[in-house]
Amino acid sequence: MVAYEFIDNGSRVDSDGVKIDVFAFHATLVNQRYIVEVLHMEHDIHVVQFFLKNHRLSGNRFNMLLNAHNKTHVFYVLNTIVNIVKTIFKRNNQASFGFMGAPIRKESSRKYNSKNINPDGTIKNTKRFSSYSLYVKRYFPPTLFTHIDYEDTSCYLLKNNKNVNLTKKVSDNYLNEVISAKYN
Amino acid sequence: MKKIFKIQKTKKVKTVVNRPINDIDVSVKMIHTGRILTVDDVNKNRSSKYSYLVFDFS
Repeated sequence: MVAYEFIDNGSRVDSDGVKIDVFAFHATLVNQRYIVEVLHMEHDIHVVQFFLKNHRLSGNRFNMLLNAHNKTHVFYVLNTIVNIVKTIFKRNNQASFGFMGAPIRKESSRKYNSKNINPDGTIKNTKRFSSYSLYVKRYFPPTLFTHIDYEDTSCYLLKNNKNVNLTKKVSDNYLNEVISAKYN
Repeated sequence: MKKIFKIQKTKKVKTVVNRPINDIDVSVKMIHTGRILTVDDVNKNRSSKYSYLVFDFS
């Protein structure tokens, strides 16, 4: 799997007490630096998020879409993220992984995308959600990870089958808790 | 022939709002539930040229 080389920048704890592992890599094809954050949530769920280093101070850092036309680069980025996921899995073999396909600016606009915006502010079936969910289906074996699809909120969970305490009900409840804390 | 027009007056209804509309809480709570994908769902549209990752690090 061809990918960029990444470095482990250690961990920090955010204001909500969530431990975050930070990784970084240099996308040599486009000469840009990326930061990857892995949030350690409850039930051994690890949420992976990434953004350009240049955008680290922006509130919209997850929503900007850049270099999407360069497909080789996009695959290199996703392959790098997968290598980071494997590193996390090596450290904790009970780890489950989740992501949210953040909306691009047009998708979060009620003017252009009102039919996909839920009353609670979450957004259905974003472009990133479609791409990432196809990508994880390609590489993550269903024998090891149960794939749980939250299309209505553009979220996806790869539930580690070794973690018997994390049932579908638990993950549903936890997602709803996280959403209500974030959007209300 | 004399035409008679009947004019009906509609009664005006006055709406009384006890408190400003801005004060009304309209927040919506939704319950989201996921869908567990079967092996067939995962394999649907998945090209056989890709192989699954190996997660055995023992």
